[in-house]
Amino acid sequence: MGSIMNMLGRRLILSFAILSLTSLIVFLGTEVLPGDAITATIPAEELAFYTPEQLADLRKEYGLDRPLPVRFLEVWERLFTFDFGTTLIKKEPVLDHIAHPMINSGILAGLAMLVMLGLVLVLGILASLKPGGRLDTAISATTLFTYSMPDFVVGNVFVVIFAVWLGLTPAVIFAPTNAPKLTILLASLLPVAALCIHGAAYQFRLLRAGMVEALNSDYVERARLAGLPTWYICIRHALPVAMIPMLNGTAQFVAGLLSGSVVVETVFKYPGVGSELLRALAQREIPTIQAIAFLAALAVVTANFIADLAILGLDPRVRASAQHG
Amino acid sequence: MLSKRDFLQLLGIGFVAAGTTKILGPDIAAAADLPAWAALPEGASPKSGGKLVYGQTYPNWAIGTSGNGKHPYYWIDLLTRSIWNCLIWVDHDFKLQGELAESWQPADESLTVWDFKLREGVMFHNGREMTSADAVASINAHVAQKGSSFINKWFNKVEAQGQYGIRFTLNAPYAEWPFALAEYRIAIVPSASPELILTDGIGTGPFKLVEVDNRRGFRAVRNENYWLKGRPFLDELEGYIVNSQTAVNGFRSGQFNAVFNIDPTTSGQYESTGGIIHKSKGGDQFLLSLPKNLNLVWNDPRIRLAISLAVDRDAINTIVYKDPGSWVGNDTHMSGLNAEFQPRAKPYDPETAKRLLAEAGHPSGLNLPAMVYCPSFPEEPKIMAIVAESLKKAGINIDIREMPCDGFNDYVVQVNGPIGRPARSLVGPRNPAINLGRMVTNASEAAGWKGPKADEFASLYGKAIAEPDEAKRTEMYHELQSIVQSDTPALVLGGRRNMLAHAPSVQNLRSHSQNWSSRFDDVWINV
Repeated sequence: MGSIMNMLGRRLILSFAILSLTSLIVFLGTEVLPGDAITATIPAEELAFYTPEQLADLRKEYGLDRPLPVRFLEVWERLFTFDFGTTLIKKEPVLDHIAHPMINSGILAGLAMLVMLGLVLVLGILASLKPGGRLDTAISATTLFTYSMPDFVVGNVFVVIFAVWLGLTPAVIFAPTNAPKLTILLASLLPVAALCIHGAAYQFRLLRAGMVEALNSDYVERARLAGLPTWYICIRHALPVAMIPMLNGTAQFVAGLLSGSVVVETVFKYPGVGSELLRALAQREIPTIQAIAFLAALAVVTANFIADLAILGLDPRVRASAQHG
Repeated sequence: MLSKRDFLQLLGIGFVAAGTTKILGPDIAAAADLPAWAALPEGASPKSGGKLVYGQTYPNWAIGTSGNGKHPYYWIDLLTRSIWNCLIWVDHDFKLQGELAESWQPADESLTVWDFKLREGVMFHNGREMTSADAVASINAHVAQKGSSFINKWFNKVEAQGQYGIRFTLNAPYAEWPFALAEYRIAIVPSASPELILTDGIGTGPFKLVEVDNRRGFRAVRNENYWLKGRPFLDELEGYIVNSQTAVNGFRSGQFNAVFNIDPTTSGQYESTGGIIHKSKGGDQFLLSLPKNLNLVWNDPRIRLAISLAVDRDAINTIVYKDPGSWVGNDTHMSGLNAEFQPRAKPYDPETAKRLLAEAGHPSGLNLPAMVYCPSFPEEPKIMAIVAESLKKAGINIDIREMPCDGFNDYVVQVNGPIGRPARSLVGPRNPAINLGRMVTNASEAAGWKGPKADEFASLYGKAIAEPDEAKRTEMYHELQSIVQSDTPALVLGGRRNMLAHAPSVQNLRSHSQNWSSRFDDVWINV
């Protein structure tokens, strides 16, 4: 048990280091790029009327002229205490700006994750029952096709089919950022479908391979000979083992959700954090960029940690390995 | 015999009346008890009710930066005149019309004092009547908040003259002062303390703001007490900032019944679903500033002229905008939209360009320094490709580099401040006083222009805007454009035509050359 705790402790320390490194990379990235919030906020036509001295004064006022290490340490401390500071120009709490988009994106990502897992489990089990059969071939071919389609294309194809041709869903989401969460939930059906279809294809392939392997194993054969029903063998004996490689893929899916959601949110105009990140990047709203990047990294690190715990719970070999150092 | 004072008063009235009778029959206007410019097209039978939901593809730079979406300064993306009005409006024919100002005139021949008479009975959305106190407070707030440099440069003070009159005192003679008051930020709002004024979304416009999401769009409802009686026709108005593809998707699915500022290359996608395209007469122009404070090859004005003559602008009109001859420029901020516009005798002349290059010691062509731009409009990369290709035909090689808009201005002035690198500026269409003034006052766009021609230009500009006689002023504007063309301090590579798409049921919705001057009080939907 102590060894398992040690392993979890090591994972936590590694996560902390990864988050610190992410903060540093994001900080340096936002510092070395040309431009800053001052020049991005003043309209181009008006900029000609400001002297460099005036712009320098503005930078001083907003603390953009201090040494990098001092500013990084401040940023690091703020991020790790979830105090994301204020926006540069308007001096409004960053959290106020990103709270609703983060929640909306959380709804989108959570729903995409649930739908994706449900879809993958059903398709993976069905396909693995008769490998090489018609159903397996059809599902595998379809998922291979969807896996090769970029999110942008998937999103637009869905819009054309479900919004333009069939008129079942809206093509553009009008709900405001702070709309009731049920409204957001209902509005997110098409984006969820677009977001999870790509990830589902990859996860399906992992699960199917694991299921085929498990169903051909000696212990499953023994279960069959013992007269256990197929559905029971699949769910009780084959699925837990087959899910182990898929769980690592699921953690990667979470990491891909951020980049995927930027595209999908743009296509559907979904009021999530992806659009907020693009907006902050365009305006060089550095504290907002840092906060979103940090929270996204935290989500990925947490997802990996949960995946590790799940694998630990599902796979006795991993538990044994941890216990024996 | 007219006295000079009488003439000046007539000049002021002329500003109000100019152009209105051309557009609308005076009988129609009078019958509806509306200003002439507000009359509907002949034979129109507008319907009341319905909702206009529009997409706007202009980048969300303004309102996205705002912490308060109820502040009119940030509504250039969403189109300000749905909620607010200014004293003056520039109509589709580029004529000045009184919006909240009923009339105006210079108080004397100095042209430094201007009197404006406000419309009576105009109500704010909060039920209060607009008076001179509100107009004075609004203007003072705009000056304090640097609402427009076109105002601040000339403004000295503004005072109330009774309940419905205001008087501007300027720090120099300015015959075209009223035009500056049509700028998109200069809305009239209820008077309030300096920290509160302009922050509550209350205006005099045809729609009352219900909800605004800075990141996305707004929702507004009909203002039953709108000062244009019987207007607006629509019950509701919604606007959303979207990218080009999302706009097409929203239109094709029927969620949008109009899209402003469409990419010209997507017009077919709108038309294929029954959309109707409306093009304005003009739009922003792409001005290339040529830094002349460094030892660069274009310090020789013959080279600058050669570059200009080698750009095939009609190819841009034809290929990108599918509209040959639609836009005409002359290497100033002026364009064919301006009545005072003076075209170059032969704007595209590659043979003369080659001859000029040879005269300047480059008979076999030359390489120019790289030029940078950030694509504010989706068609810009196509325009720049045509520019580079046509220059190449004349033996002029230039690397036109696309840069991210994020940090673009900083990149430009990273070297050679304050003029910076050779870069493309976007210039919106305005009147000659503002357009030509930018070559005097704007170091970036004039790009270090100096010498006898620049001095002559600055001197004549000061005289031109102080000239009360419009005909004489126009002559001077022509001369100013000739001076610029003879020295070519900057190049205008091309110009846009703003375009919108609307559903067939939407009536009288028109794209405006000044995108920010679009209005909604005369639009209706045939149900």
